[in-house]
Amino acid sequence: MDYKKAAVAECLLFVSGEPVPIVELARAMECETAEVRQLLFEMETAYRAERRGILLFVTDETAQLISNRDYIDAVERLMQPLQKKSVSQSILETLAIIAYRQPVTRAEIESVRGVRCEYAVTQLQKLGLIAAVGRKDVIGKPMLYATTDEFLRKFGMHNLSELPRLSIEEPESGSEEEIQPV
Amino acid sequence: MEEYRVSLSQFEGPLDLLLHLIEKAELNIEDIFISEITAQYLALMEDLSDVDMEKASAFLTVAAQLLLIKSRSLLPRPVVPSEDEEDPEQQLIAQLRAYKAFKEVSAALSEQYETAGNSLARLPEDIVLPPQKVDLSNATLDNLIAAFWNVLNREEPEEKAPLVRHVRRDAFTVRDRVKYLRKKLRDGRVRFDDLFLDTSDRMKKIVTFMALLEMLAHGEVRVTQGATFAPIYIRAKELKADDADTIYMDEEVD
Repeated sequence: MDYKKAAVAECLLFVSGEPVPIVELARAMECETAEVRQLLFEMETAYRAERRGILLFVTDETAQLISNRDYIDAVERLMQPLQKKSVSQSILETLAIIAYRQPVTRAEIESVRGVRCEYAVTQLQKLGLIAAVGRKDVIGKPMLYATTDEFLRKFGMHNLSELPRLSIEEPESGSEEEIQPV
Repeated sequence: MEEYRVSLSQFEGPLDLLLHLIEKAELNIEDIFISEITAQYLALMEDLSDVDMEKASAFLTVAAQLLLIKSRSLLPRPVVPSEDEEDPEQQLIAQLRAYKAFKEVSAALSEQYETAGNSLARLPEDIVLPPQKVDLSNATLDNLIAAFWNVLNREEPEEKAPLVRHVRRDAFTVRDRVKYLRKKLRDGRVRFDDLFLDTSDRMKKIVTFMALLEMLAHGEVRVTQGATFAPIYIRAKELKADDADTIYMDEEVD
């Protein structure tokens, strides 16, 4: 690991606080994106191995410094972090269907759930967990939805391959589907 | 059935309810149609008024499906099932399996959400960043939306109104339009809508309407309408000569 570059990346992530797109880090570090990605991956592993209080969390798109969840009790003794809202069953089910079948239209989600889910889709968009990514080339040109980087981070996953296993065989996700840009 | 009551509102939808009944009876999904589930489901439909219309219609759709399946099972079946006909039983079973799978993972996701939430992040400091070079080659939709939000939320001093304004000369005058209306009304009554047929210009329409008001005020025309929402008709009452020395609302009074 290039310690000088790792230090620069750590510095940038500390100052930013928010998740930083890896391409932006690369731009600031004047390095290739692939090199930065590899560096971040090594840093993440190293932080975790040392059981540090601060961990690096890297998704396919972004990197962010976060507190180590193992020490949440101490944090709660020191201060009162905002109570996060729990997510309702209908929103979770809708989110799960989008996560596994993305990109997916609302009608496709509804055919799995057997009920309408307009509200859940709107809420998920407001929460930033899903986003409209295009329109499906069928009658009515319905909007297609996919999960976001925010979804990965909020659910502690580096990428979609870490989704829990689904107990049914899924058809290959819509790689051959015609998607029109929004 | 007697000892335990369920309320429809506690279920996400018809599939959720069916899964619950199946679990309660300790059955496999495949055995749903050789069981009492259909009867139990239909019995619960009596409480449909407990849920909102949208959910109720979803429950009813599945009730109809169950009845269709039940009635088919009472009829003799063709020896060779036709290929293009989708078997409603298999369809519903597949739907239930898929729904069950997603329900299970959503529970797993919920746990992940709980634990991931124990990691906290700092809020960003207010550090002013230098203007950045625009390079959209790696932009994702998320980034673009975030950028657009920033633009929308940025506080900017209100732009000063330009000191020089151009006032356009009125292209239409009430006098001209009064003249036009008189000409139209000489042939008898005219529908209100038809008065504006000669133009798509907004200003011209407004001036025409002002002219009509003037004529009403001066007793030149009468307005009738048969009923609410019926067409409005304008009739001539006492049309004046075009060069009458009336001063209209858009004209200067000395």
